[in-house]
Amino acid sequence: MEIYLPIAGLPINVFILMFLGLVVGFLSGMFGVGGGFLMTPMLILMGIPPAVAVASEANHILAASVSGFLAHMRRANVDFLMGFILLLGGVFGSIIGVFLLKYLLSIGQEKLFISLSYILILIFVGFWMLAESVSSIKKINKGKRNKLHEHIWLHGLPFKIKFRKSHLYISVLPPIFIGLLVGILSSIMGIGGGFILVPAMIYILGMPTQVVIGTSLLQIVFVTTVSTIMHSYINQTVDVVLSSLLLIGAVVGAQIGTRAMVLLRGEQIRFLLAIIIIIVASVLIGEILVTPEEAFIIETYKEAQ
Amino acid sequence: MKNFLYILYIIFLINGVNAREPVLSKVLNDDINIMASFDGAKIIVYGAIDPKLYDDSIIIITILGPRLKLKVSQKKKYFGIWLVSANNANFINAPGYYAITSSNSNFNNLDSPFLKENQIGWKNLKINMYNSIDLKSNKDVYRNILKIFYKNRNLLVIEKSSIDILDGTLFRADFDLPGITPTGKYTVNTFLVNKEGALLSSWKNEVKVTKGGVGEYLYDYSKKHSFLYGLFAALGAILLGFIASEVFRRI
Repeated sequence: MEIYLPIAGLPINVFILMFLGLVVGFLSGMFGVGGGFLMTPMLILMGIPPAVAVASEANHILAASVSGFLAHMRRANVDFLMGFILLLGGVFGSIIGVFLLKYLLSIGQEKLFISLSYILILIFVGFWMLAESVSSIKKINKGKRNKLHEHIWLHGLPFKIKFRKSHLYISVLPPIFIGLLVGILSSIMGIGGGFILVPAMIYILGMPTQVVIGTSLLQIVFVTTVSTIMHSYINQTVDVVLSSLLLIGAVVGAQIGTRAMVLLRGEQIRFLLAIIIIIVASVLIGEILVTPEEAFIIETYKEAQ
Repeated sequence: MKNFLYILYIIFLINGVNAREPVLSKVLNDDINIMASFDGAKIIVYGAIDPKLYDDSIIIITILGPRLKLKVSQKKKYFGIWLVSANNANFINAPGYYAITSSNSNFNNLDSPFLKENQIGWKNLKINMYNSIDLKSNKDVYRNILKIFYKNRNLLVIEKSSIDILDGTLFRADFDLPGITPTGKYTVNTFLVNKEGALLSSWKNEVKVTKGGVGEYLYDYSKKHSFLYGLFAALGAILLGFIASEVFRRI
């Protein structure tokens, strides 16, 4: 069954969209990621204009992560103070990102920029997480216990605050900067930013994995709210028909994912997420190396009259 | 009911042919509305020709969609990586859809002066572009890209002989519009030409393709009230996420 997407301007199969939503929703609930890093490239592959894919995905991630966030909040897995500090940077970053995308659209290089950003970030984050989770699984098997967290120089910066929930006493500057960076990427890449936030919170801020996922969802909820509104307002690229259809699958998937998560240990979750990130990166690299079926892009950007 | 109308219409046409023109045609559905569930539509052209002319003439039907501004960018391999080239061509009046068919599979004479003059056939269509002179010399390259793009999406239909003829006077041709077909005015031209490609008679119809239903409303709202659209999109998503969460808590 085909349905016409009014903003994207093309018809698309309803069931493919809902299935895509289900798979990505499962990952969202399980790993505390919005799943946009998987969904956005898929949507672009299906022929949806990159700018519409990015903006509609922000709207879809919002709904999926509200549902995931509430589930984590009930399990008391959220550090609200840390979430608020991250948001100070995140909301501002999201607004910067929308205007950056507007600029990239005007010079026609948004697709290249989006692809390269994905590849660089996914490879970097994926291999880092993989290496770390493997070594920590080995350590646990040997019977050694990790320190609560490593104290690095970043934590010694001024404006220190006590984060009770995360058992931390660190400067607010690193979380604000991380929030800002993730906010920008969130807007221009159509991601929640969880796949950067989660490792950043674990390895840079030193937060415990169980709290990290709920807290990253808190940040994602607010940042995607801002980017949905700003994308609609500035670029008019949010397709609500598209995001609603993805959502039907996603809400179901997210609930299943959240339940599955409780069954796994922190380093196991990180190991699986790392594998998924590396697979997506490989597909994206393949896409720019393999000769395309159509070695051109055609955009209709205005009706002549 | 449709068949009945069709028969009535043919009777009208036959009378019309004898009385006035050697060729007459009519589009059955001249107001096509793209609904939210749109997955393509058909333009059905009916007509009649003067039976005396049947043996020596060829019917050509073309459908020209609304003119669009298009940007064509090539992908090129730099250091082993496929990137979108910075060079691009801008067509200022590319047809959003083009179809041509004739009644004779041997008809190949698209070089006839009449056809060239009237822009009949894809290669005779005038499509202008604005860009540097350098790009204009590559116009054929970009035009060919456009052709492949349209063909892959069924926006360009070139049939040798898909016109059905009954009794040497009535004809019918069906054209498929794909789901991505642009909205606007479609011109249906029916030409009757001789074997050399010179015009005997012609007839013109118009078809209006519009967007409709919820889709159009959303599109308009997103353009006119961008901020509110975004606000509602965000609130709707939060609400849906909340409802889903509540529903699943109880299961």
